[in-house]
Amino acid sequence: MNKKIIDYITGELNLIDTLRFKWQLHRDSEMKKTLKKYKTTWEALTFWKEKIPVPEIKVVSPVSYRLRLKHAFLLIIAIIGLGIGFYIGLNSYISASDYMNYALEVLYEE
Amino acid sequence: MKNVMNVESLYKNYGRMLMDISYRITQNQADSEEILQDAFMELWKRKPVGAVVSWLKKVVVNKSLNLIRDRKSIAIENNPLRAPDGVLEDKEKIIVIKRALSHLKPLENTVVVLKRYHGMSHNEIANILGITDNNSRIILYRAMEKLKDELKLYF
Repeated sequence: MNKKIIDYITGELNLIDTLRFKWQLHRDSEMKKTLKKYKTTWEALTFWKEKIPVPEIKVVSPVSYRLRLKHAFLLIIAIIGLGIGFYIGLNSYISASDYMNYALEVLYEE
Repeated sequence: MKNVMNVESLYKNYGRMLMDISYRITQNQADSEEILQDAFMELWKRKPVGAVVSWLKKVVVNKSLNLIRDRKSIAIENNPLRAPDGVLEDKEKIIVIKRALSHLKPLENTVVVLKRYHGMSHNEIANILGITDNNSRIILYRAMEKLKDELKLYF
């Protein structure tokens, strides 16, 4: 019997079953009392109406073509920078050693 | 780009409803936020074919259910409540309801939430939880029996 009552409260009965249930209810006072108890429970649950904020998630859009080139561009700049640095360093090393050799030659001659 | 738009519009249209399902099952805002984001991440990775909303509901419900199963019990504010014969304020009523729901088994809690707060049919609930219609009905009967006993002192 309780199952029928819960089905009625939760709206699971079709039209014919609902009519049959109501007719039964009309004749059975015990059933009425039980229905009241379940209905109170079912309706009590509606007190919990809290609304909670939905968090914002940012959907990441695909990286633009220009932005994707940024890393490659930076890499090329770095390689060129290293090349220039190496060239200048080597040149100054060569000129310094040339100067040392020249200075040594002058010293020996003297 | 089209996928991004789709996920965004799904989130805008169904985010609140999915968050509500998760929050009512887990009763924890941080957990429900995480579950919601996980579900959308999964959607992004898998790109399910067919009814995406039903798929999202399924993912959110099952993730929430697994979480409360792992957690064993739901943490509820332990505010002292007035004697059962006194009149409760709305806030206290909410605590009583949350506490009563947390005393149910995870599956019972989930069925009650889906039925009461989201008006789903037993068929829909059964599809989401991977059980039969009849099983869903029986779980609701059991849950109602427990809730009736627990809430009768306050309502």
